[in-house]
Amino acid sequence: MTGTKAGGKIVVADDDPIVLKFLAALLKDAGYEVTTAEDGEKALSRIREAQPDLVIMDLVMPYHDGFEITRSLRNSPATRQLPIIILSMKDRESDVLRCFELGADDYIRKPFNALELLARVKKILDRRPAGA
Amino acid sequence: MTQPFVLSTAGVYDLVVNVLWTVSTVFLFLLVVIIVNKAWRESREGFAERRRAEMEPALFRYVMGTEPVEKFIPSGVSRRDWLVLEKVFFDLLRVARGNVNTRAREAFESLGMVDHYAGQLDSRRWWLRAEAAEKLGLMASERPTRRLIEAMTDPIPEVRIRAAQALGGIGTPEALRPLVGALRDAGRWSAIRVGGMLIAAGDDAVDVLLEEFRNLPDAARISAIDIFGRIKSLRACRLLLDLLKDPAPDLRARAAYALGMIGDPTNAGALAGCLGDPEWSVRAMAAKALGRLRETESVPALSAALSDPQWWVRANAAEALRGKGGAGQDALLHVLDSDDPYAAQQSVQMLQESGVLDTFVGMLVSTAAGEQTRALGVMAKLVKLRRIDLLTEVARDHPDRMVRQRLAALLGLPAPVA
Repeated sequence: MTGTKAGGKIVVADDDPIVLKFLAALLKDAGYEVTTAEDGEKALSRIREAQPDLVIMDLVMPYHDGFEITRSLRNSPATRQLPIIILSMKDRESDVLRCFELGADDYIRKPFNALELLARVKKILDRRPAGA
Repeated sequence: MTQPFVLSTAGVYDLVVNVLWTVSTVFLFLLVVIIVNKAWRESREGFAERRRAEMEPALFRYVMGTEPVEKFIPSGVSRRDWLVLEKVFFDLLRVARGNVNTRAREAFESLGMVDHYAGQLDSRRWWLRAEAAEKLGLMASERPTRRLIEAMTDPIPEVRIRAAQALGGIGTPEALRPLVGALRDAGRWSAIRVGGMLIAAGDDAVDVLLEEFRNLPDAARISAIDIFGRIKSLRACRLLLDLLKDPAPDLRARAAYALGMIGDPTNAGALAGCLGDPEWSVRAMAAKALGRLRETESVPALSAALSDPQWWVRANAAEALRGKGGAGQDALLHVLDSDDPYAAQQSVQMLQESGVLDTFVGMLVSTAAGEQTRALGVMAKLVKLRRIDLLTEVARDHPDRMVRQRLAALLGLPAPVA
């Protein structure tokens, strides 16, 4: 699918199966190690287990929404610096601003452009300190 | 003489047994039918899920690649696979855009799905025609445009609406022209619904509407003007500015409103000129539109409009001034001295709603040079305008005791309890 191979662990959380499967395929093909979660509770446990380099998640999910997860990750010393990309259908300015206030690094609206998403993922992961 | 029919005990027993037997046989038959149907449906769904799981990785690779879809489905597509494949692509169209959409649409064409559904538009069953129109809309291929235009005259409204939506999704001038035409036919088409489709088409619809505008009747022109405003099309500004001089007051009013929705501040001069229009509806819409523009050039004209004989114009002008920052606020304060009681009261209301009066009340105890004097001046004007009710309320409820005391003294009220 893509030319260059990258690296890094990514947790993708979304309750829409097509988004989850498509993103997993897209990111794996681009050379990333991907773990998926279909609700907020699983997302939190997968993040704890996998210790990823990046989280891509939806805002509206069962059990814990994206706002809660972002807040929880930012409040924990182990995940305070973990990059978070929000991928959501919500396009109200207030939701976008709230995500950034809570500490999200990027916000991508659905329907999303797959190539643009890959570019943003690469850019965020390239900022990691060497050896991380 | 005929003998009366008498049923023996054994006869009654036989009858009951026969009825029970018949009823239970019917129930048993229905039960078997339901179970078989459920099993068949579940097996079909199971098959579809399995095929989907098998096909999805290849289809994901296809949409992110450049090679033809046939290369990713070497075994060909059976009718059952076709439905699975269609579902995967429709799901992808829902969540992704850009290259993924283009590739999915190419697959619909090369696998013959577009032609299949275009043919289904001729079905005798209306629900199949409606399904075809809807799916062609999702596929957004230009190829069946002519067939969809024909479907806009279908006897069934559901088919017509879905065909129109599909044409809106295709978005080419050829596809959009019939939608603009539908605006003329208010008896057959809901202008709001067609308008929504054209708005969804965005800038592509503007070009067609601009081309067709002069040929539309007034009612359709009004819809078109609203669409320009909702799309916020800068390309429509020239036409809308011309329409501010149209002999029809409805068109002038709608054009003014649309210019406000578009929000280009360079149109402020023309809109300010409309505040002198002989029709009050045009003046009201011009004032409202000016309130949406980020500029202050119109402040003097809006201040003058506070004395308009029509309440709606005054209210919109005051509301517009409220949004003009310092210049608008100064104009509203200036109007407190006006001889026109309507304008002055409108100004009080806007100053109150925007929190400016609260600021002046707070300044009553300010130590900064000149602030107290300014605040006292504004309070005196409110007293002169008989807005003692407003000040009495503030004198009672203000959180700062000093402010409460100052206001009570000004109004001659008993000193507030600490």
